[in-house]
Amino acid sequence: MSSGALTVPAQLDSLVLISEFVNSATHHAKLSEREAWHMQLAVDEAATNIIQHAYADRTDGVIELSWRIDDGELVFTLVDHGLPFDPTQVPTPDIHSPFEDRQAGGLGIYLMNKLMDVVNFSFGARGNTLEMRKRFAQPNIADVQSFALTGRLDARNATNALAPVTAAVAAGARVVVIDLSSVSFMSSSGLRALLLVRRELNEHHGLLALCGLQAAVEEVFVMTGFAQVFEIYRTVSEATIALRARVDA
Amino acid sequence: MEITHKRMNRADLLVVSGRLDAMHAPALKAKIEELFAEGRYRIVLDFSSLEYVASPGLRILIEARKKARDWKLTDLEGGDVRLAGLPSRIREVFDLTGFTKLFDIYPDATEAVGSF
Repeated sequence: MSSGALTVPAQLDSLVLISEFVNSATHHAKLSEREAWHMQLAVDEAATNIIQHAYADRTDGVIELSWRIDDGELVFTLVDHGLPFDPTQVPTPDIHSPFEDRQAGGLGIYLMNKLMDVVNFSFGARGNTLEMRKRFAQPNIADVQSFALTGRLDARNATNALAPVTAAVAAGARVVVIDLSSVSFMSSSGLRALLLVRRELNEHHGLLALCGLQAAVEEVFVMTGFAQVFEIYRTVSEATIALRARVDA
Repeated sequence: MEITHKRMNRADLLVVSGRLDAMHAPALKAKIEELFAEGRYRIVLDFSSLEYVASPGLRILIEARKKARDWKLTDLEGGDVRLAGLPSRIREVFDLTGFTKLFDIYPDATEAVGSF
């Protein structure tokens, strides 16, 4: 699941339900504990604003919350049908002013802007819509995982041989090295299976390198043009160093 | 949120735990105003068990300290609201909002009470 929705009464005792809802979203997106807590605070501030200002004296209002994951960002949307909200009318607190002059207002929106990468308010026929985006680190991006394959990569066992790689990518591995030094034979089925792994990683902005090609296997790669499609290194450590450098860049 | 109150000679200590959000901030505000009404203007808030703070909680801290400091014993001595034992998350909110510089913050409640 990579999205969710919740509608709650616009009342302060909904804040705990909202907190649990945010918790499930940040859990699915695998946010770090700190990023997750930033999301918690930003959504809590947004909901508090809606309850106390957009619906002011009304008790029958609702807040429609939803989240989705969009290209490495966790996106939260809050919709209410209360008074139009214009964020430009809220004074920005001067966080450097001395205590005597310090005003207590405007901190909620200030925190939302500080904690999120994008905060967008709009007002239309449906009411107020607030969208907040938080970019998060892709899981395991720094961990290079290597897999040593053995034997023949042909129609009969290519899928089986690559099963551990496919499973790891499904579980979140994003930087993968496949060691072919013990692979003695490569057929078109083997090439196709490698291509599928590459496509899966590309879709998740991951990286794949191959290494240790025996002469006969290398010949197949060159003849088919696959040598240009894959990144190929001599050893696992060369491949690992090269991929890690690209992740860091 | 829970508030535990300990009356000391030098100050009143309030240990605040749990969530200091829009739902619970009014209870802390009420407790502090109760102390003001008794003529107790020296208050330490022990936040070492505080899990969460949002802007409505921050807002009442400013208001409480302003009122406490309006009470003066002499030109040099008076009331104050001082803070103790901020967990790292709470400290981060204080840093983001400039609150770290607005309050006297002590490592623990003993030091904060002793500062009066």
